[in-house]
Amino acid sequence: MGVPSGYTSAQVVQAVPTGINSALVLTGSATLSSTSTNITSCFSATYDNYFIFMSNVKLSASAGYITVELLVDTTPATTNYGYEGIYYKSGVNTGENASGESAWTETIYQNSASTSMGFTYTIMQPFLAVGTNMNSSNYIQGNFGRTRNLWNTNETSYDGIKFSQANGFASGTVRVYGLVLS
Amino acid sequence: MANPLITVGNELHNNVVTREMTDAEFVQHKKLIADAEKSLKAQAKAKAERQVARTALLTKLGITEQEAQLLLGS
Repeated sequence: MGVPSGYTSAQVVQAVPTGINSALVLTGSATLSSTSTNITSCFSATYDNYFIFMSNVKLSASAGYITVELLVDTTPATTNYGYEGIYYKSGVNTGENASGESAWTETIYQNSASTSMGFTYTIMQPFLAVGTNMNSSNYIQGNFGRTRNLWNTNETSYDGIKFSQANGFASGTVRVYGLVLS
Repeated sequence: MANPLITVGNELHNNVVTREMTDAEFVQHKKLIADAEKSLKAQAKAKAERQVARTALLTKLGITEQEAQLLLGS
């Protein structure tokens, strides 16, 4: 097999070759330490869809939940959130759903304050003035996992996202990546 | 007592500010938390009701929870 176009070696590729762009571009970053965090201007017309990674998340209390809201500048949307999902705990699968909510709410259980957790979200078309969809997939301490398909039916262009926690975040990092269109 | 802290901005744009919530933001935050807790209670109630119905059905069928899981592939 020959050396692919753009590569200098058929062995180990150590860098992205010239002319090949990354599929993910960092568009937002925040450190969680307050009760609420607004990540502004992380969604734009440049991308339709985004990945959001939350890492090293610790709550100030051992159990609680994270609320997620979509933002227009710094103003959160407070209507028309919902989801369908399934969670697994102690050998039992259970379906769950909600509609007409004022935010997306994700429960979290933290067995030990010294253990951190990670979360992933895929959010589709938040900046387009159509409904917004999101998928979440979270492992939660205590043999508890959850996958949800979330939606907000407001036909609004959102440019940011807000994370809140009733007792505050002890730590955490959020990174938002746009998926290039081509 | 001081209002809770809110962080606003984007580290990529070097415009992050952490400050106390304004009174209006705190009112909105309290409503957000109250709504979230109401939603979680409703979910918990629905799950408990489903579990009661599940247990009754298992009794009616004469099988255990583990046997039902095997049957359903869960």
